Amino acid sequence: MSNDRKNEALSPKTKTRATAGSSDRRPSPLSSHVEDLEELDEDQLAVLLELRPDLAEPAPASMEELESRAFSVRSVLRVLMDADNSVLQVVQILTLLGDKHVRLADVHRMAGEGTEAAVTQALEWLGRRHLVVAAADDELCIHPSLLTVRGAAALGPPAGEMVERLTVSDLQSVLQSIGRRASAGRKAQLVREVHAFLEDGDAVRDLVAGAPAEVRALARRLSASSEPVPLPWNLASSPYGRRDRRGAVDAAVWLIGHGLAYRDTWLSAIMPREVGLALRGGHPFPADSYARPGVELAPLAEPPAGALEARVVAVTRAVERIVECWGSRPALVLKSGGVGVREVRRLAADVELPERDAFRLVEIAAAAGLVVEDTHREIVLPTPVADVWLDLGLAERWWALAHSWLEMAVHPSVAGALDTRRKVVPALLYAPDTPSAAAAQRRSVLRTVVELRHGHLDADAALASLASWDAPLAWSDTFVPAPLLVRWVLSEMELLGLTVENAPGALASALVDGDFGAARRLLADPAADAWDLILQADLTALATGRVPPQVRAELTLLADVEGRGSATVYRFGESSVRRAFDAGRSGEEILDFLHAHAPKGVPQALAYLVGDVERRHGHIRLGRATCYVRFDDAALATEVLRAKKLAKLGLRQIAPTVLVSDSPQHSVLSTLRACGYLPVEESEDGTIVRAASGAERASLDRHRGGAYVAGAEDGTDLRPGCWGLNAHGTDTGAGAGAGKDRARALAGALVATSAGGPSSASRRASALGRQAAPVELPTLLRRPQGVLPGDEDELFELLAAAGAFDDEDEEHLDEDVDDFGEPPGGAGFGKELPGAQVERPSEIARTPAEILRLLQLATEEDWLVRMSYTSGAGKTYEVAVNVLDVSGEAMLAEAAPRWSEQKYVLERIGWVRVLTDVEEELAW
Amino acid sequence: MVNDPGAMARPAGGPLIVQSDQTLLLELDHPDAEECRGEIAAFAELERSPEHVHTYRMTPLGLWNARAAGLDAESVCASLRRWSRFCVPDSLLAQVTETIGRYGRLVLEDDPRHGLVLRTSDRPVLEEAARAKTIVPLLGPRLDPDTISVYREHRGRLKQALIKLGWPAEDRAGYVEGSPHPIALREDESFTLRGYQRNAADAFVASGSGVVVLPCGAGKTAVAMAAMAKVSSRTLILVTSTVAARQWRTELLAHTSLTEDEIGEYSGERKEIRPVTLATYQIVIARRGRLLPHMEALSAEDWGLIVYDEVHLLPAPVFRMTADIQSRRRLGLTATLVREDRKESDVFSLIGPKRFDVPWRDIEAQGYIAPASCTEVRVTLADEERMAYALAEPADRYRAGATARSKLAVVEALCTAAVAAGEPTLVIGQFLDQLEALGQRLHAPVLTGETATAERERLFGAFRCGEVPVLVVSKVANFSVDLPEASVAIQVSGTFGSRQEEAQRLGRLLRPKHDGRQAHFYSVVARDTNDQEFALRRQRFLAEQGYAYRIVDAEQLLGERAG
Repeated sequence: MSNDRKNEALSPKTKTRATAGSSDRRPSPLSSHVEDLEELDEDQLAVLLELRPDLAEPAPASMEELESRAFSVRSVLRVLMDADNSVLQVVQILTLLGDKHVRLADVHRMAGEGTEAAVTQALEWLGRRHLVVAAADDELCIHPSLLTVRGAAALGPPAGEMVERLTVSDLQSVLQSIGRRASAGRKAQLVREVHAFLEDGDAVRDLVAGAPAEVRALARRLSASSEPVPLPWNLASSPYGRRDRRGAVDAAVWLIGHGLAYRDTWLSAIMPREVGLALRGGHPFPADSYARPGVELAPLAEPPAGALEARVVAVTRAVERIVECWGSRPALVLKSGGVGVREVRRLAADVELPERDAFRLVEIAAAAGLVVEDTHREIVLPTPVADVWLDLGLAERWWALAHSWLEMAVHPSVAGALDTRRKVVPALLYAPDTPSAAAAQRRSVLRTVVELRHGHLDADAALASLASWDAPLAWSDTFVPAPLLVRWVLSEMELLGLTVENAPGALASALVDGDFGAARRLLADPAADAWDLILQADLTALATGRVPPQVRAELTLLADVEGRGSATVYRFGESSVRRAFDAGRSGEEILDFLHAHAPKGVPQALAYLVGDVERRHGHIRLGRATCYVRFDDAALATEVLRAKKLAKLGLRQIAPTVLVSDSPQHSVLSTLRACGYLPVEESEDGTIVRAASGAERASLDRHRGGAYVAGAEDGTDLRPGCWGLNAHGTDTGAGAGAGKDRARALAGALVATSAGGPSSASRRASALGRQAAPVELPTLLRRPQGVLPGDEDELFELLAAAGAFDDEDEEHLDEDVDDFGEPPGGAGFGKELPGAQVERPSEIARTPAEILRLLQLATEEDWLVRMSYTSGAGKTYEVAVNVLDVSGEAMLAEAAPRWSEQKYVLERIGWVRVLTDVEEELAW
Repeated sequence: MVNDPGAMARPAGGPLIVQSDQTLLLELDHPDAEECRGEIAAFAELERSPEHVHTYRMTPLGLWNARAAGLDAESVCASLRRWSRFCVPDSLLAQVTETIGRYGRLVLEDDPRHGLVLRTSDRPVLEEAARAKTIVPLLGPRLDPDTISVYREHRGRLKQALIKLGWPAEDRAGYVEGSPHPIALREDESFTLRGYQRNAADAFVASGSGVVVLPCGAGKTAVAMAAMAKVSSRTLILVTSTVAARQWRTELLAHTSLTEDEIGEYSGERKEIRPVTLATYQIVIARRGRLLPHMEALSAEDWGLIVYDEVHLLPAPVFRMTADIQSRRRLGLTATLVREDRKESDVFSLIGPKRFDVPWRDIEAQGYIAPASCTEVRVTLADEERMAYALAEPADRYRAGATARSKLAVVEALCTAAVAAGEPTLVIGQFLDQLEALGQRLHAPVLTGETATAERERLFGAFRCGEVPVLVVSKVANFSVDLPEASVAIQVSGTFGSRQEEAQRLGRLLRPKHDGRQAHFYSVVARDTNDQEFALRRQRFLAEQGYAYRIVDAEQLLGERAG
């Protein structure tokens, strides 16, 4: 910034002020700052935004937004983070002066002699950031937020209220002890007098000078800080006018008694600001504290460019490896957060870095956005940004890392350090998105190191003192001792190549100045990006230098990495080359790639290896299929493949006489049958599976009922004895006991079925009817109760009753049942008797002849049909019907859903199809 | 830790790449490669030597060998920095310095008053060593803070234990002279000591014990003879087999003043102990019950020098014997210090550090050895052979692939070409029926383990003088000591044993011809069988060993021949 701009920053805004109104009406400070901002032209605004980057980010939508942002405490705090000690002291003086408008002379007076230049410089610094505005020639307008941000020079609070709190007698006692005549006037008068004394710095100093030695020592201590002093408990109740028997006086009590300290709490007292200031000689800070401390460190010779570059290459390569490692195997996140030491240790071994440096680089890589935690999967892995980064040149890659490091909000060295429980702090544990002091601390160290040309770890204390003078706020509240922080930052600088053997290089200067161009010039060695690939007859490859990511990826696909370091050693093998073929490369592509990138050529052995693998790759192929269809002749296979009706099966031809399908085997079978083919099922050993004949049975061993009929599966070892019949002395013959046995078995089956989950009564019934029930059971179940028994006991009663029936009784029951009529859902029962089953046709009848045939069949078999029908009114609709009779040109049928009897003209039926079992059940 | 930023500034472009896993990659095409090799070979072991980049590895033993040879950490680090293309990792230099620094902190010395003592320049190291459980029983009373007496018989065991502890001791305790026995070299036109052989012998004699590393065919026997002549005392030579013992005997008779009566053979067949005794490892470690009678018999002699042939094959019990005879001079001979059983440290502590090593290329450049060119001929099997291979039991698979008849035509073509060129040709195989078939097809005599010795002698003689241009030999015959040299060898099946052995035998079998023509080794391999898998491994190994390696298709070969 130029000098005239500096001056301008503090020049009075007379023109606006003069026109704004009369001299007695001062504008409010805030509005003055608003005006101040509003008056800035474009260039000035640009300068401001450059000095206070937080104002520009995110870009403010309007001037109003910029103003409100500029006046926020947060923004002011951000500015002061970068302020040096001298500026902060001036800010504190402004706070002590306490007014929003202060006179320049007052500021200088309080700062003391010999500080004029520093104070002016500090005010200019603040002025450039528009925190202080010159209101008139010798008057400053202070930004209100500035007055709130910093405690006043470690001085206590103003005396005002403290004095007010004293009683009249205490006030009189104080006045007496300081040798002033205690007027008997009103309290206000006494208070004024005490105030007048406290304001008189010389009087306070004289008083203390004459006090006992221990009092002087305590007074000095209290004036240096605003800390409270404890009071002796026995004197705390009334310190005024007290002295003990021997005439000795407690120092604190002396101060209180002389009005130089006031009770803060019951057992402590503090010194008011006025007294502290007076004891400091009227100047809150010593004059020499405005100057930067001198540090004696011999500058180190600048490291050679080659060494810098080696570091830069090493660090970028290490980060590349981190991206590579975590790209292929992301790091797991600990339950308690962060990447644990075990993961980082493994990474360090892979990347060949010391463990601490691995921690640091992980943090820096995360700060640069190269790796990030996927919170859903609880892993840390590279981002797409990493791919962009990998494609950059050396200088760009390094700059991205170094700049991210400089700006990052955590100290990368925290990760990997030991915490208070002596445990290693995981990486990526803290991710504050708010600006923190870390960046300011780091910047101040970097600046100091660059300035002194010295970054030796042993100089940590000296560097810390300088760095903390340069940015006291940044260093004020840190849990970590400043020298340790400095050591951390120095180690990080060494890692990043900013220093080499403690000597800062040109890259450090470039980073401080934010001069990427300079960094690029320094790292512009074309050799840095040079690379080479050597292939050898022992099937190894050696890649040196900066191999482009695509080439590296391809090599990693083609060969296994055998050794890493400055060069990567790859080994080609059958499995690695196969991997490339699996990834879709052809032999020609692989050899072209190798020829293109290996200047020394491809050894014959490698070419043969690729050729061998290519020759054998894919000789065996496999795929997934649910079932196969095998034919005796290819023609039939082709016919089936082309059949449109079979298209839904998704048949694929894998050999002239073999088709495969992803449809389930039974549906392929039934569909083929439905289309008129005569397929048979093949078992695993190639024999033909015979269709089960006769009634089906539940496989009982898997059901609870199996306990009762152990060994009953083949029907040879049915031992009704276990059903309890023997207990009754009944013979196990097929006679009277049979019904009961069956009932018991069925009960088991039934319970097992219901145990599978809640099912409707109708489903239980159908389970019985289809799987296990001979004809008696449905009839049995159609008892007057009309419902199925819900629980096992009830069922047993029912079935036991059935067992007690003799043959006549059973017949009687049958008759009985008939009387109850067809219950809903009962239709399925007697009509689906095993052995009486006719395959339901699945085709749709469209021609009159077909329709007639299908309707007749449906009548015979008592199937429901669905048909399209055009009414006499010309309206076409679909309906499910139970055909009762087909005669001539019409048919009689019950139509869903009310099953009312209707007559349909056959001619008007568009199409007919038989409902499936399921549809029928649903229709009923 | 050596801080030398100046060295880091060296412009990149050296022939060496130093990896942080302690391997050194040497790029041969670099103009400085030869000079660099000379320096790094002193402290790093050559691991692989394919055509472009050789891999050396720095191991503690290698570094200690270098230290024993007089190299210090500074010069090792300086070499690395000097030749490295990229900045050498500081951690690696620190590690090298640290490792080298461990050698010689403890010294075994012969104290005039106390006899054998262990002395240190670094007291904590002595304390650490003296407290180690493995070392306590080997030590005698403490003489002063820096010195502990050592029982003489534990000299070897102590050195072994110390190296395991990571503090290798320098043995300066000297040697007994042994019973003198005059031995002289007989140099003439047909045999003169080569320069490097003389240097190797000198280096050994100066130190008294240690290993001389020379590549196959570089004349290790000559080095041993030179050493024997210098020491001139009773000598025990331990060799790998009776065959080798006889080979040694022949050489000794031919090139030294020793007569038949002075050379004894101590083997399964004969038990002679003479001033120079050749014993096989097998007989030395032969047990009778819990005793090692032969080892004891040999240990009782007052040898002035013990020569260990092929140190890398030295069986473990011989180490035990060696541990007991540490006061004798010991010369180890080998082509490689790498042992398959990882007992390199025992070689170091018991035989001694590497005393001499000459780069293979140097000897090659002097024209003493030349590698054979290796060609793998891939034969595509006929369909029925492939089916036979597919149906073979796993145990028979190799045989099914290796003895495929399709190979015969290829072998015939190769033989025809070789004979036409006047090259003596050996056909080597493992399976007798295959060899018989080959013999019939090639009209060549077949020589197997069953062949009578007289017949064998006759055939070899005929082969040498060129009467029989092609000889079909089995694997058994291959171990015969008097197997004549051939300039073409065709392997139809089987391997020679371990990969290392195979390479060595190759080297021995295929010496360069006097007119400088290269020897050829053909390996006929059935494609897509496990025959090829074995071949792949061999190919890798041979390529690593620097043999030029080529693959050709049988079809192409036959086509060329036909053309």
